[in-house]
Amino acid sequence: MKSNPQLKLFLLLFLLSFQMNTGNAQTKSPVTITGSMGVSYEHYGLSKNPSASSFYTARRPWNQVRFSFNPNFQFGKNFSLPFNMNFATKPTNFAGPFSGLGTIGKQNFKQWIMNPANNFAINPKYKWAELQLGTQYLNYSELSTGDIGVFGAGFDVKPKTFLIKFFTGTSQQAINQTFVAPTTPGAYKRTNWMAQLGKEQEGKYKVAFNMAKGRDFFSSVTTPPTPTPQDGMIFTFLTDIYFKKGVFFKTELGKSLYTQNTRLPYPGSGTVKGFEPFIKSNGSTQSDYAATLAFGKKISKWELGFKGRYLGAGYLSMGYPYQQSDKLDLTVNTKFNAWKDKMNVVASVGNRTNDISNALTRANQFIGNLNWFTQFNEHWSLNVNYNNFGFNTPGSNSLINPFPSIKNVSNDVGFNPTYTWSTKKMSNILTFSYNYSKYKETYIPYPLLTPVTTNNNTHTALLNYIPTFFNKKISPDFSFLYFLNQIPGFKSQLISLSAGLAVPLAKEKINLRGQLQYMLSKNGIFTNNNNAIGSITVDYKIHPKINWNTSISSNYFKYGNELSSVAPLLGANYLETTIRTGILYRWK
Amino acid sequence: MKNSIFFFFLFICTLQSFAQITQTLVFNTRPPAAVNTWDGRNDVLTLIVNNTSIQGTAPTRSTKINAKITDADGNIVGQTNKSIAPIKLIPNGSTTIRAAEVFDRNYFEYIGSYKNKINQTGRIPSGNYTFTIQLDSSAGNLALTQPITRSFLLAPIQLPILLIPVEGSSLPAEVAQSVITFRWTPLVPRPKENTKYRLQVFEVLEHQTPMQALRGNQPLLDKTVSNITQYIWNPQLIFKDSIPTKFIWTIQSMDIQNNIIVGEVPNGEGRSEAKTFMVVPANATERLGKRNNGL
Repeated sequence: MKSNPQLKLFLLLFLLSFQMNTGNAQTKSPVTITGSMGVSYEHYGLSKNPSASSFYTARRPWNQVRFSFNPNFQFGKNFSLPFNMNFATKPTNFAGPFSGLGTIGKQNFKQWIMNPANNFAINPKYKWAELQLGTQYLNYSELSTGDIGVFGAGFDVKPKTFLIKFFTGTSQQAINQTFVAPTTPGAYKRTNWMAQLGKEQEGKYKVAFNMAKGRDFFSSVTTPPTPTPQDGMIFTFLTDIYFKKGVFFKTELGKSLYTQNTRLPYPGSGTVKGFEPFIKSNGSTQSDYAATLAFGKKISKWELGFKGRYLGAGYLSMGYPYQQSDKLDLTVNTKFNAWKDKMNVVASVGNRTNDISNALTRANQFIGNLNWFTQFNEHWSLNVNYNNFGFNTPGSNSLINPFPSIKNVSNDVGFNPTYTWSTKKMSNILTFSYNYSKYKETYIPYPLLTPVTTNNNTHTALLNYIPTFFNKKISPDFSFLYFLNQIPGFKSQLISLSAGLAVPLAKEKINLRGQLQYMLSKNGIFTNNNNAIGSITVDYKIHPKINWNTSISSNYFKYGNELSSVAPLLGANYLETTIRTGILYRWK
Repeated sequence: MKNSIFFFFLFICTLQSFAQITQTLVFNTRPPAAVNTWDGRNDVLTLIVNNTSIQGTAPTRSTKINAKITDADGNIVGQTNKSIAPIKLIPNGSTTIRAAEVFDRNYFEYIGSYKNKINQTGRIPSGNYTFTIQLDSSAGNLALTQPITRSFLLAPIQLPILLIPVEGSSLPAEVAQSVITFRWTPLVPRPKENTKYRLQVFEVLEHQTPMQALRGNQPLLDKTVSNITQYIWNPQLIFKDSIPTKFIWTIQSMDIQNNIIVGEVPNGEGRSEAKTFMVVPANATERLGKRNNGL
């Protein structure tokens, strides 16, 4: 029998914790356990007609087993041992440094441990001191680090009002670039360090100095990836102050040093100075600033706030690897209740400027949102929302290198009335929802100066009915949807009908739910596409602490002549099936 | 008279040199905006130098690369400091010179405010610039080739900004299981050639952070569209009978040959800043007491 290390690890953890839990029940030891653990299996099946064609590709792994082990052992009053372990048997990475492993389907042990799909963490805590071991997603602040998972070790201690944090580890394993299909873009091994020193009194103030650093190791791979090996360091200082009567003020200032290519020679004068021994500089090193500012007032009835965020063009962070710099965001938001709390309004208006340091490519983005909910009486409620986006960039009319000016405006408005009524036997909720979206894209292709405009309008209407029977245990629901999208010369229409039913069985130990949906869609001059989806879910409460959930869903889609007007793609179709089953044990 | 003889001699020597060394320059008219990384890249310039000196006379020439960037007003942005630039030996035959030998910041020096801007941002302000290159004698006082100039546009590539579904919005499951509209802004500057946008949507599983889902999961939607900035997705999934489901989505930009357009984000993936949205069943929506946009 083939050895499965993931399964062995899970069984070991399960037995250990179960033993502790049993002991707890018999001897009333001071150990208490909360949290959950479980195992689930997912099978995905796809059959296509014609089978050899690539008109539709699989969107889930064929077979996947996932384990979760998240108990928190509380020893007495002061010591706790929380686990956060979630892992899968197969790699499924399609983005980020591990991308490609998903199609290759194999990984070595280190890659498995540090794969973002998996998480192995233990955070023992004694009073105010916490040890952080394994993969941690630590958010120190908005400008320092927060998005990235790092496998390593560190601590977070809070003696009295002090904050002392440190963590170091590896955020990506070395992966060689491969050029033979299935290809992998590869990644250098990246090591990260982060630290925070500060003082905090909850609800009153917080001041903290943050440091975050990451470095790629060129020699960690034999076939280097396309991105160059990098080295980056960030220092930030943040201050949060909370005054009386809900007034708050928050700010953070950051400075980054970032070397885009550590392989370049180290030049002498005229370039950025490094901060040795932490970071050396070379000709590709840049040093820039960032800042955030927020202030406002927040009380139970209303709030009003301003937020500003500036990232300099050279401000780069390894803790936020997808962050785009060179922008200024300004937002004012408000939220209030009125009419004896029957009315709730949430609104924001803001402007974002991208490429702020470049006049030619500077892009302004206006964003306005309004959500207005009113409960008129016990029967009627109405939700209205309005969103506006504007995006424009000037372009260049240079004779040598022209590029177009762009101006896009989007206006979306939605009305959602809900009517609720009851009879002696049942209550009913009827919801209607209508949304209109008007999107206008304009670009001026210099040097012709003739604007090209595309109007893109969308209507969406939904009717949803949910009856609840007082004397019956069945809970059905029904909905009807109409969707229309129009651009010049092309129209997409869609109608869908769906119905669901939930039934408790076996003295409510089993909850059976089913859903059916039929969808008819038509794109442009092509004939209709047909789609039917069905799903059944069974929730079985085996024991007050053990839940077994199984679901089967099938999706059948048949194209009209959208793919081709001749065989074999005329009427091409596919059937995909997903079967999931999983057991979850909850301690409390 | 002495001067006249000297300049006549110099003229003859120059003509002779021009006749012996010819050069061909291929310069990217839209090079990467991160000027401070040019010396590490092969897609900025290629200078092919052909030394046709007669074998046996002086086949290998000792030269210095003399390069210069000027802005639209003719001001010098950066130039080779010939006093410290290394000697480049050009043997008989063809020699290829890459950006690493031209833009090494040990001897290619940016001037004044441009230097400060590069040290701060890695870039110089967007606009039209001119690049000039020639080979000088190793002493640096004699031009061995005619200067070649090329105009280029420097404009940082702004990856698409994801518009809808709005960051953090909640979509009703009754609509979302039939249709979800994704919309984003085009690349700026908009390329002359067609651009491909790869839309990826990932489900955020329980115990996962959105970024973990993006980097670890198989996308439920992985669709590439050409030159359009909208995609209407029919998820063909049942959301109505489940708890609220969180998704993270992003756009990867590519040129017509499927080369990734990396923009100014140094991770090389060319992925836009990802956004998240929730799909919430009706009963859960009612509990929330409001609906956000996103139809």
